[in-house]
Parts: sequence; C-alpha cells; structure tokens
Amino acid sequence: MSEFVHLHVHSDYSPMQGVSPLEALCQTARAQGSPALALTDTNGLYGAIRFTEVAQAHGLRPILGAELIHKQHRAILLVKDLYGYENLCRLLSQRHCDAEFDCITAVQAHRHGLIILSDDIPALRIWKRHSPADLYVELTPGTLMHQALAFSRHTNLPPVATNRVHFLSPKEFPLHQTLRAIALNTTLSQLPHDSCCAPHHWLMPLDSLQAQFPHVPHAISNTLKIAQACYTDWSFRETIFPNFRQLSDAHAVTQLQEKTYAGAEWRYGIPSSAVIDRIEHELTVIRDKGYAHYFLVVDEIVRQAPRTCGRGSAAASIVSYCLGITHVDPIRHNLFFERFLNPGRHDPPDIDIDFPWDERDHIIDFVFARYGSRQAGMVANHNTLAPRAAIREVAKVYGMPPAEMRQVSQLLARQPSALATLREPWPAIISRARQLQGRLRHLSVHCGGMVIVPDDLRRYVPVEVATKGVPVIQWEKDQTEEAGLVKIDLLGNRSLAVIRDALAAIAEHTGNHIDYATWDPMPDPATQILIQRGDTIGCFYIESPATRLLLKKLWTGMPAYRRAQADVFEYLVIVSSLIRPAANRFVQQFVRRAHGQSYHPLHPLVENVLAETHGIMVYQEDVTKVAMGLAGFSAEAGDQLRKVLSKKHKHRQLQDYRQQFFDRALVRGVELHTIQAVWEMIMSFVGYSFCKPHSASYAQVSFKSAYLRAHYPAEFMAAVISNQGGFYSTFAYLSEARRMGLTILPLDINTSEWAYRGIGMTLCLGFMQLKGLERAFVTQFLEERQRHGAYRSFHDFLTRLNPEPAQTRLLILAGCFDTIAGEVTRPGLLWRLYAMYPFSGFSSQQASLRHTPSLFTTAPTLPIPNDYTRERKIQHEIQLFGFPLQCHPLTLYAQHWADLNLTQAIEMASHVGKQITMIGWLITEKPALTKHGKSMAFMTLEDSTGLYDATLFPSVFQQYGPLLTTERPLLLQGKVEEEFGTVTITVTQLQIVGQGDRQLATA
Amino acid sequence: MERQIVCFGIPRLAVALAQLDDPTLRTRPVAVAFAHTSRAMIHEVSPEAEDAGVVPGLQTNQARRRCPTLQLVPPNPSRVSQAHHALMPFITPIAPIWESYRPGHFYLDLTGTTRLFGATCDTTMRLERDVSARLGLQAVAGIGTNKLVAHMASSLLTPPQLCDVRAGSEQDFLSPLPVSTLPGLRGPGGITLQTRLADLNLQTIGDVSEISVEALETVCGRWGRQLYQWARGIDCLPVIAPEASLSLTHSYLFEPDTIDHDRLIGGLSCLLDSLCHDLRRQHRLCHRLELTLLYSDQLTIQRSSVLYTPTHWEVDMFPSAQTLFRRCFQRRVRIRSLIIRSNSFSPPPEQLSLFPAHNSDEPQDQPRPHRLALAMDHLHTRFGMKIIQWGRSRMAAHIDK
Repeated sequence: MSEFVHLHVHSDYSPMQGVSPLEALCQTARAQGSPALALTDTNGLYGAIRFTEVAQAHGLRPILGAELIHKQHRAILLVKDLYGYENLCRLLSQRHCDAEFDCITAVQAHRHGLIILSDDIPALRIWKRHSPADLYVELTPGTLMHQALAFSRHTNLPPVATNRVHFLSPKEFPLHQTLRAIALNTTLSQLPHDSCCAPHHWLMPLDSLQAQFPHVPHAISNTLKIAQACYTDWSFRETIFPNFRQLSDAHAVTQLQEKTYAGAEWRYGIPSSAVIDRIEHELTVIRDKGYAHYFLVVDEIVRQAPRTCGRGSAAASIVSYCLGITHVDPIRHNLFFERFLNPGRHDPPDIDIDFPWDERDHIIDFVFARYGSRQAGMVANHNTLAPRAAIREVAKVYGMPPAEMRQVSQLLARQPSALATLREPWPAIISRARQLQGRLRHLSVHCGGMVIVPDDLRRYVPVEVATKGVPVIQWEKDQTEEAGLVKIDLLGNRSLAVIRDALAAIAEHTGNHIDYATWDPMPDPATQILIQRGDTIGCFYIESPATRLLLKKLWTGMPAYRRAQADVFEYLVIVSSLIRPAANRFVQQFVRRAHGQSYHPLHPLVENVLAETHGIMVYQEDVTKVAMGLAGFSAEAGDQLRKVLSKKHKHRQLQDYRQQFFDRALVRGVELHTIQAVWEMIMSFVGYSFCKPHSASYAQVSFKSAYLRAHYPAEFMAAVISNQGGFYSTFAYLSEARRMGLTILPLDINTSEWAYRGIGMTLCLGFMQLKGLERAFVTQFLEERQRHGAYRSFHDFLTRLNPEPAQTRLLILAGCFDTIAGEVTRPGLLWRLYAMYPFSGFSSQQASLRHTPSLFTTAPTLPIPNDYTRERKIQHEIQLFGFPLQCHPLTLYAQHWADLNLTQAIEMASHVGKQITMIGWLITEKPALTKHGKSMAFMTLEDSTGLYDATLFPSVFQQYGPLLTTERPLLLQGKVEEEFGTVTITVTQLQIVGQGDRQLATA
Repeated sequence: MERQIVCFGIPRLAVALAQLDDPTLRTRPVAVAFAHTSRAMIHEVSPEAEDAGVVPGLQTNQARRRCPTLQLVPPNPSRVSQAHHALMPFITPIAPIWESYRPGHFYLDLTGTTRLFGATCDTTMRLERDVSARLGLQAVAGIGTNKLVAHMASSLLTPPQLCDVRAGSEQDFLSPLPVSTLPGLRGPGGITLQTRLADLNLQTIGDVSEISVEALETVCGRWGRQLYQWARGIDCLPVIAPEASLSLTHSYLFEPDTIDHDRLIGGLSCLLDSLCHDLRRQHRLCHRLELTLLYSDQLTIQRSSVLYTPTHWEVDMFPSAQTLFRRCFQRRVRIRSLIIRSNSFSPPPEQLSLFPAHNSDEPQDQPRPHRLALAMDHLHTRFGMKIIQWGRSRMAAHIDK
C-alpha cells in the first residue's frame, strides 16, 4: 500500500481546467497503491456523488473536498465529518451566491469539520490565529514551494505534499492548455502562462513525488494522516422530501386523503369499489413511503395552470389522476401503480408535469415565491463539450473561420468517413476535439427540474446563481436523484400552448368553448381516421416522418376485421413507445403481428406479460416484467435493470445485470438462444424509452391535437406555427396548410397580428415571420392601430408612429402596405421613406432630424418607379420570410426539368417496383446508422403535389450525402418500394438541381 | 481642351505571365496560388478556370474540388514586378502623366498629345501592338474623357481589345450597365449605397441618370450628386503621377493563413521594415498609420491612428503599430494578410547642414537603433529586403506552432 494519498486532485468536473475523468483517476490511483483519493474540483462538488461511486467501485476511500478559489485567496477544503460536508456546501454556495464573499472570514466561520490545506500565507496566518487545528501548509513542487516551507517551519504548521493534479500524465498538458484557451476565448499562442497549471501537475506516483520532497519527508506522510482523518463512508441513502406548509406527516396524509376523494368525485361521479380500493392501496403506499407532502406540493403547483400534462410513471397513479396532476384514467387504461411507487423501491421517483412552454417560468416563480430560494433550487445541466461543440471550440482556438467550421461539422455529421479527406489543420483539430469530448464546460439550468427541501438546500448541495437569477444546485438530475433529493420536473410543452391558443381562437371565432379538463376527443371518428391515415403533421409527438409512416403502415394494411376491433388510442399509446432509435427492427414485427400474423411468444414464461403488445417489448415496465418472468428477478432488481438501461454511466452495472439475467434464466431452463433474443430486445431500451403511463399521457395530448387539426385546421395550424419549435420548419407547415386546403394570406399592416391567425379556411401570416422585425416595434404599431383605428395610408403610418426607418423598410419590402399604398409602388414607398433620412445610416439622432425640413428649400418631387419584378418580390420573400410565399420554391427552378419525365408524389403508388425520377424539396432528414455502423438517411421531401419519403442506403448515402440541402431542389432517381400499403423511394442517384440533371433523367 | 484618358492594362497579369513562360498552360484552367498548402488562397485565375467556377479568394482545396484539372502556379511577385516595370518604356514616351493603380494597370493622361503622337485611339492601338509584339502580353485599353469612363470601358473588354468612348456619348455608353459596376460603389460604404439603390429600383446607371440631382441628394445624401455625375459620365479626378502619390502601402500575405501571434507580429514587423525603408528613402515622416487585416473568411478590419510624434523609424513606430494591430485583431479567426498604409507625410524637421558632412546619412549623434536602421537600409538597397531582417520579422515565415 502506498504511503501517499493525493489530496489535491482536479477531475474533468473542474470546469474547463481538469482533463482526466474520474474513472481514469481512480483506476490509476488504485494502480499506484493509494488507499484513498481526494477529489478537489475548483469551487464545487460537481462530481461528488459520481466520485464516491467510482472510487468505491475501485476499492478507494473517497475523500470529498474542493479547491476554494476567490480573488487572490485559495485553500483546499477536505471533509472530515458530515457537519464538515454541510459547511463545505455552505462555503461553496456563499462563494457563488454572495457578492460580498470574503474567503478568509467565510472559511474561518465554517471551518468546523473541514481540514484546510493552503499555501496562501496571509490566509494561513489569520486561520492559525483562530485555531491551528486541521490546518496544513500545502507544498507543491515549484518555485513557490520554498516560501511555503519556510512559513511552515516558522509557524510550526504541519506541511503536506500535493501535486495539484489536473491530468493523469504529462502528455495531457496540451489538452489542459486547449481547455484553458477555449475557456478564455483565446488562442494557444496568446494564452497567458498564469492561466494554466504547470506541466508537472499530473497524478505522479509516490517515488516521483518523494524525489521532490527529500527535505520534508513528513509532508508525504502527512497525506496519509489526513486521509485517515477524513470522512469516507458516503452512501447518500436518505431521501429528502419537501415539507408541505409545515404540516406534520399525519396531517399531510389526512389532507391528501381528503383531496383525493374530492378529486375522485370530480373524475368519476360516484367512485366504484375498484376506484376506492385502488385509492386506498395507493394512499397506504404513499403514507408508508412518506410521499404525502410531495403529492400535496405537486398538487399545489399544478393548480396554478389550467392546462397541464402529468407524464412519466406518475400517470399510473389514481391519486395523481384524482388530484388533477395527470389526466389519464389508470383504471380505464390498465396502468400499474407499482411502476411509480412500490414498497421495495429505494430510489425516489419523481413527478413530471408539462406546462405550456410560455407559462412554465411563472410556475417556477410561484415555487420560489412559496418556498424561497433557501428551500428550493433548480437542478443543473452539466453542459459538456459535445462532439460537435468540441470540434467547433477547438477549431476556434486554431482560428478556423466560422463558415469552414460549419462546413466541416456538417460534412462529418453526415459522413464520418470524410475525416480522411480533410487537410491540415483539421485532422489535428478533430483529434484534439475527440480527446476533449465530454469535459464539463459550465452549468446551466435544467429546463424544469426543481428540488425542494424541508430546511436549507445549502446543507445538502452547493448552490450557484444562474444567469437568469435563480438558484441552481451543482448536480445534474442523475446525481441529484442519487443523492436522495426528490425532484419535481416542471417542463415546458409547446403543444399544450398550441392547444391553448387554438382553443382560444376557436372560442373567439365560433363561440364554441371546449373545456380542456373534461374534453374527450378519443371517440371522435374524424380524429381517429386522421390518425389512422398518418395525417398528423403538427400533432403533438406523432408528427415525425417515422411515426406518420408507422401509423400509415399499421392502419392501412390492417385487415378490416381487426381494424373494427382495434382501439385507436391503445395503438397510439403503443406507437408512441415503439418509435425509439434502438427498436427499429421490432417495428416491422409488431406491424405484421398487429395485422394478424401468428407468432410464437419469446417464451411461455413471458407470454402473458407481452400479450397486449403482440409479444414485443414496448414499455419500460416490460423490461421489469420480463426480467421477473424469465430470469426470476425480484421486482426491485427488475426495476433497477430498467433504470440502468437509461443511464449512460452505468455500463459496468449493465454488464453485471446481463450476467445475472443469463445465469438465472439458464437455471430456470430457458434456452440460450431465447435468452439472447430477449436480451437483445431488452437492449432496445438503452438510451431513452417510455413507460406505458407516460405514453398514455402523451397519446392523450396527441389525440387532442389531432382533434383540433381535424375540425379546426386553420386555428390549429396557426397555433402550431406561432408557438414554433415543431418538428418541421414553418415553410413545411405552410405547405401542409396549403395541402389541407387553407388559403395563406400575406402580411397586411391593418389585419395581421404578431402571431399567425387562422379563421375558417384562411391562415394569415404573423409579423413574427418577418426576419429582423423587432417585437417592441410591432407591439407599438399594433397598439396604435387598436387605439386609433386602421392606418389610412403610408403617410398616416409614418405620422402616427414616427417609426424606425430600417424596420419600416422591412414592412414595405414584405408588402405590408400594399393595400393602403394606392398607386405608389413598393420602391415608391421606399423613396418616400428614404427622403426623410440622410444616407449615412439610420441612427436615432438622424431620425430626430427627419421632420425638420429646411426653411428655404422646397422638397423635390419624388418619382414613383415601376414596381419590383415578380422575381425580385420572390427574392425579397426568401430574404424576409425564409421561403417564397407566392409560389412553391420548386417553381423557381421549373426550367431545369421542363423536358424531364418526372413522377409526382401523388403518383408514386402506381409505380411500385419501377425506377422513377422525382423532384423534391428536402423537408427533413434523419441520419441513421445500420447495425454495421454505416451511415444512411431517411428523408422526407415535398413536391407541388405532396410529401413523400425517401431512403438513402449506405452506399448511395456515402456518394450523395454531402449534396443534401434544404436550399435547392433535389432530383432523385430510384425504385419505388411498397411496405404495408405505404410507398417510399429507395434512392439510387441524387443531385442538386442544376448542371447535369438532364443526363441523369435520360440515363 | 477635352481630356483624353486611357485606362491601359494587362488583365490577369500573373496568369498571363505564367502562360507566357509555359505555353502549355495557354488553353488550360490556371490559377495563381501556393500549392504547398491546401489552405492557400487563389489570387488570380484564367478565363477557363473562371468558367469552371474558380474565383479569386477561394481556397485551393475548394478550387480543386470545383475544377479537378486546375493547374496551380505559385505567385511570383518579382516576375510580376519585372513585367510591370517592363511596361514603363512603352508608356513613359507617350504619356506625360501616368498613374499605376495596380501592377500592369495604368491610367494615361494623353490630353494634348494628338499633334505629337496622333489620335489617342491610334496611339493606344500602337501601344497595345508594341507591348504584344515585344513582351508577348495582350492588353486591353479603354479611352474616355475621364478615368471613370476609361476604366468602365476597359473593364468590359477581353484582350486584345480597345474601346473608345467618344466625348458626348459617355451617358449612352454607361446607361445599360448595372449600377453595381461603378468602381466607386465597391467599398464598404458603396455596398450600403448599392442596397439602397436596389431598394429604390434603380438597377442600371441609366435608371440613376433619369433621376433629378435633388431627388438623388434627398435619398442618397452627399452621394447623390456624385451618383448624378457618374451616371452622366462626369468624373473630375486627375491622373496622379507617382511622385505625387499621397500614400505608401505595403502588404504581407500569410501562406498559409495563420493565427500564431508571433507570426502575425513578425508580418507586422516586416511591413514596418518596408514602410520605414521607403519613408527614409523619400525623406518623409509618417503622421498617420492605417492597418488593414484581412481575415481568412474575407472579413476586413481597418483601423488607423495618428502618430504622437511623426517618424520614419521602425523602433518608434512599432508600439503604435502593435496597438493598431490589437485594435484590429479582435476575432479568433486566422489572418490571411496585413496591409499597412501611411497617407500623411511631412519632411524631417532637421536642420540641413551648410556643408555636406563626410557621411551625412549616419550622424553619430543618432540613437543606436536609428543608426542600425540606416545601416540596414544600405544593405537592403544593395541586396534586397531579405538580406537582413529584424529577428521578430523572421518569425513571420515560421511554421505555426
């Protein structure tokens, strides 16, 4: 066993400083024979929970600590006991949140339970005066060591040796330098020397380090002494619940019971015995597990918004349903409460609630107002250098121009093999970027995760203040959960806002008020037909090409007798869960079986478990059930396996579970090939997957969206585009609106609003579509219009608003004044606008001069030039809206294919098995990998008759992938394939429209 | 008397020289660029390369992708300079005043030479013929009553053509040309004005000429009158002889482009060496320094500063140049070239000696760096600028770290 412990170690959780991951540090420390290892990331415990887990897995005793740095003072703080941990959290929180933070006085006030190592002589002097206990002088090889050593000898404070580790080995120093250059927005040649650590600050083995301290051997031995004094039995098993209005546990249970029964009456009228039994069962578990406060807290939050969608496993709870937290009846849809909460479950399940995206901030404000920033905090996101970001940032350090970075980034995203074709310095950039991937860059606020504790959050975890002013804890959701903090996810959902806005527009235009809470669109035949056809662009969660294609395949080819019995909602729940990256190969099986194909269950032991989903594992709980049924796992172990599948850092655990699964199933007499087949299906849940309650909740929102699309298309599409963030671009939504029969109206200064508006069968563009137009300016002229009526002329507009000329120019070019300009053309309006401003810019000073014409000059007569040509107007539309409005962009290139024999999208079905040539505008592209790891792509394109799907298999993708663009038409040649009644084109040749397309078509 | 201005030049001079030296290149797509690095920038292209989509400013790897048969020839500044100077013996005998605006391109003011040499058109044709016969270089020439018309005329031609725009027909000649072809609208301010003219639906120079000067001034400010005159073919700018040149410009091209601070400062130092050498040679002091940075993505940043003490010594000018460089270099993007320009001069204020000193260029009372610079000037004059350099200037040619 080594006689030395590294007590000053930065991992890659030291943002943009540390290079080495925890796993590598622990492994090397262990290999060096170290009994323990301290993690002292800069000003934080960002990786503390993960560290304890990794260190324990490697047989090391984990010492938690941090390097506290503030202005010119610094110290290593190591946790000696649990009170010290709380103090460390408080100190780090103060460091980040308190503008008046003073390192010396703060450490002095909170040093109980902490061991302090420092070479900051002024600070050490003051701390020694307070107490010399647990105070050490830090000696690190380097020019300043002799000073620290002299101070130690002079004051009799014990010295301790550290190497301020920032990386595993000296060869990683350039990575550290690159990180620093990225962090400081500079280049390697301009990186200040004092912004980096020294090249020798690596995880040195004992013998190398001893050579540095021949004159102070006790500095080495003191590390062991300190390590032994530190607390290392970390478990974080205790769950920390919020407290609802300071109620006692018994009162909280009583209140929850009362609210649940009141809710049951609202939901069911007179509750049946089944409902009552279920409520009682759930309340018992909730009481025993101490969840009553949590439910009451969530209930109070949900009541702040009229439209929510409780999702996740909480949707399996009838208590949630009765409280209005979720909206899917768990009894009607056969949802199991145990997926959410069961007596054997140790980890705290959280409740996820979706709010309309633009209401979420108010809800979060409410929580902070109710609990205060001492009790509540946002969960963090650990923003790491993702592959593309790493390439971009390293490229910046190398000074590559932004356009070139974009180009290379896109090229590599589409064709990883293109790396070999890149010239210097790109290979060096990519190589370094790959080494830096995954390094913590900074914290950001998780989109909606919150923690609420009964007392002071800073006892449990260090807190920082996010840019938008909210307190944010230093852990991301996984570490938060593992530390026992119960999380509430308050998430933003655009589709809830779409539904809200569409319902409001419908009420305004038709007087038809639809009550969101009691509205049940599931029996509506028009909605069901729409879903069965896959006409679901704009509908929540089921608008992607893959889902629409699956819906089409599922329902188009389904025999009539099965179709008559099939429940559209139930199938929609399955489809919502089945569309996930790793489950592609099971989709075809599922469709065939749904169409009536007989099948053999995976094994008789799991026949009943998977009967509902035709023998395919669809939901997360299927993993648990299959593990229990086939391998005899306990409910808890099965649930853990389910959890491990969704975590990135649990590879080792997954291997353990795999071994257990195989061993136990073999013992139960299951054949090896069956176990392998089942395990393969289980592995399709790696990454993300859903439980049935979650899918049911989502399917309900999907149904509501589909209902609106079926019955109020204009209001619905207007709300979809206005809320933005859908799967498709605005251009694609407008094309879809045209196919739905809607008329698109251009912008008009007297009728348009900021957002899109849909009435009857017309869809009016909103000013939001106009690039560069400021919201404040639009609000100004809309308010003026509302107060004093419509604008009578362009001059009237100028007089009433005194507007910014650059902004007015955009309105003119977009044709907003066409209806009130009379005979004055758009360039004529611009003449009149520019006549009011001198040429040299549009500054506000000049703007103020515009109404002071000279006393002695007469204004010249301004010409009324000819209007812009149609081509120029289309060009303006492309510049201002991002797409042409008065025609389909394909028509602009029509001359290129005038003589070609093209097949249109609506004719594809009649060419099955034939080679055809098609023209199309790329709407979406989904890159994918084959099981052999080769790149391919699925595309959705559009021509003037409709949308169609195309597939580029690897060989074709490798050749033509770089040509894919959304800015010009694509000419495709390929074979039409039919599957389950839907047709797609398998592309064999592709080119951007331009030179050579004729040769392709005649080939 | 009517002015007779000729805009005479060898289009794509570097390419033409390469094709002259190697006749096999004559019908092939050729581009001038360094071939040793894929990031080198294309300087000049032959018409065949242009047809294939290769344009100056493109990187060589992109250019090769567009035109796989592209032949790269390395830039040869001394050959270009030599050819430029070889044109002088043809020009100086016929042009009382001439101005070179870039290598191989001249404005010639032939006003009043008709009785001596014959009609301007004939003189220019003779010039083209002589240059072609003696140097093997094909030229173009535009003739007009001012620099604008002559330039516009020459820009429409391919060698060996000549275009004579007779007095009085300037407006008709310019009318169908796009307004964007006016040379005065090519700078940063001109681009903004072009946008405004496009907004006003003034597409051609003829469209502009139909608008009253008052209306143009109303919407284009001080540019209005200028545009009005240009649209009518009016341009009063004189042809400026080299000795009356109002500025000194030097540029440094980084091949490949770089972000290495030492190299960049080295390039800056090289520029100062050349600039100060010229200043001392011309007995001028620099008052105002202007630095232009061309980033690899073609973005140009220009900053200038007035020197606290006018000088022509590198050692005195370097701190100001460094400050200028810091003001310009604000992006983390590689630099392609540095251009330094001085456009405000004065003579040195020193008292001239009544009797010439034995070695007046190296007074012993000067500071050592000044004496050293003077010594280096002697070497530079005799053996060229590269014979001896400051250490920091040598860094410019180093390989990136």
